[in-house]
Amino acid sequence: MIPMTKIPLRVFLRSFALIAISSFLLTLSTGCASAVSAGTNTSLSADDLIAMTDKMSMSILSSPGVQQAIARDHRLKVVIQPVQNYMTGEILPAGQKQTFVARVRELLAAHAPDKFQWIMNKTDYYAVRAKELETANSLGPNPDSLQPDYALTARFDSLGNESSKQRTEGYLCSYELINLRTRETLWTDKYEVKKTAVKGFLD
Amino acid sequence: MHSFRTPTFLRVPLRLFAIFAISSFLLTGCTSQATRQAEQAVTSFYAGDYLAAENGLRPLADNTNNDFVLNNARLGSVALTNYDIPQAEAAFLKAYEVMNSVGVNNGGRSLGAALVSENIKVWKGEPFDRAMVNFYLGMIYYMHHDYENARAAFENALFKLRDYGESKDSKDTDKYRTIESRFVLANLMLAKSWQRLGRDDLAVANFNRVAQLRPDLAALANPELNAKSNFLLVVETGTGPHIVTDFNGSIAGFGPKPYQVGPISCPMVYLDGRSMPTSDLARPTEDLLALAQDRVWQSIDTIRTVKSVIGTGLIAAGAVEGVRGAYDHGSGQRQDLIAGAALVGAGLLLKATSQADTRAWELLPRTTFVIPLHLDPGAHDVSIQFPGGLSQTWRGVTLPPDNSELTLYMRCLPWHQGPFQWPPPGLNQPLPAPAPPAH
Repeated sequence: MIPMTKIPLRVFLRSFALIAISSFLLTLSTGCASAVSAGTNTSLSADDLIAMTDKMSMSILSSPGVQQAIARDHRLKVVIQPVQNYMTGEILPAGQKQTFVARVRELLAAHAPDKFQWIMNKTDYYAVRAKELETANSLGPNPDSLQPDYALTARFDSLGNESSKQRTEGYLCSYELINLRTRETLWTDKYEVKKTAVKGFLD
Repeated sequence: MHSFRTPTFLRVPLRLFAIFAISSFLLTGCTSQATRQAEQAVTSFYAGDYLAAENGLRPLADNTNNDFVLNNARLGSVALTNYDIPQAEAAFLKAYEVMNSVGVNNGGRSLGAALVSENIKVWKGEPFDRAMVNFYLGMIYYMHHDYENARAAFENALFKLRDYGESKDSKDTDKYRTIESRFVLANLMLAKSWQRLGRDDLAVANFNRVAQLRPDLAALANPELNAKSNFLLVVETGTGPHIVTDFNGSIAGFGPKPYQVGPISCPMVYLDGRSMPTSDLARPTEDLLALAQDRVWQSIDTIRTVKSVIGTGLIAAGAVEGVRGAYDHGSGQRQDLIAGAALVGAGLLLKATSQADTRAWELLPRTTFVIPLHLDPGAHDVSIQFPGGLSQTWRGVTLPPDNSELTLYMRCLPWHQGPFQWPPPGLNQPLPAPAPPAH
């Protein structure tokens, strides 16, 4: 017979063992989650890329100003420039800077191939030439001999707020199609999104 | 003679306890091989064998485990010192992305860190670690004249420090200013980035901020001097803070303290063998050893301390129970002895799992010097020399004829003195300027 005075100890030991084993099993079941798959952040994501570029490509095609220019020039010669990063405290690596405008180009090239002629920008052109050509004396066609008439540009801005509880980031992604000869903005549109990430115990 | 049998009510808990203890031990054993490999890489780095260090760290940095950020930060440091810039950028970007995420440790990792071992959590570094990752990223972009991303990274370094000062429980908003004032390195580079982006208003505001926070750096924060600069030396020296524990192994702090290792020595700059007058520029922008002393204790440290105290209490209670059992008789003695042993075991386990998380980014320097210079275009030999003999030399550093700024990063270490030939093989050269029309 166990004395009554021993019952708290028994309860304590059983509880301790149960808690220990439960936490251990829980840790085993979830503790191996990848360091890159568990977290969330407020950065622009692949979903934003798709939503943003879908919206922009449709917006360009439906723009009356662009339609008039196409009717006048038949085919717009457009060069694309990488995104200008004006986001607060957020890095946009070179590949992503290209991706956010390149997808617009790809969508337009796929859905309206007869309306746009895409011209490589100078930086990419010289990078490819420097990599591929053997000598500087056979440079090929002069880039100035093929002049684009329009430039598709994008600029990303953001405004963030961080507290001990959460981080919030608001994005304004502006796209423009500029007439390079007249400096006229033929078309412009924006994509806005606000993101919030709630901090956890160890954040 | 009594046969020593475990009472029925204790059997299941004790068996579970034994499984738990053995499994914990085995889990710890699994990670030690990777830890040893990382330690070997760190040793190789300080021995000057950067290739071995990079090769050792690369597979570890690909593993998305709890040391993912740490190993990428280490790999970034090694690659940067070795002028493997693309590798350094990739590694720091990986670290940056996880550091900027929240909820990385949600679920089992949080519980495991609190109850089992703090090493289970994904290492995201102390706030000064995060600031330095952002600083290195910014510097890499600055070296490549990508001033937009450089600006973003330097802003983020300051952003993190704001978080650093923001105590979860404190209403003291002045804490933010105190912490930011200790990291003028990011302010300075942010000013330079804004200047290169053509935003002189924001550049001047940040230069003024540097001069306001650190009057001894007023000459360095001169907008005209930085606007004219076509050669930027970024020189790092010393060893950053490391984690120290008390005798109990439970409370972590950072050491050494600045006074224990003495003041920071300032370097002399030599150009083509001639000494340059840089005494008002070659000054330490920050001291990571001092910064680390401002570490805000986190809740996990409290948990660890409480666990340690409870563990000590359980061991003491177990000892009392054991002594009582020694003077008892019959079944009462058995129960007392077993209960005492169980209490001591539980206490030892709690104390064992309350050991400090001693993971640290050991490759950080103590300080960073930023020295903007205006030199004649063409090739130059550049040397840095510290009192005591530490030096580094680069030959054939070629400055472009335009007004762009060439950045030379030097990590001064005893086995890394050169002379090195510019450009280093691993440097991803900036794209060539557009050539004049050929036709």
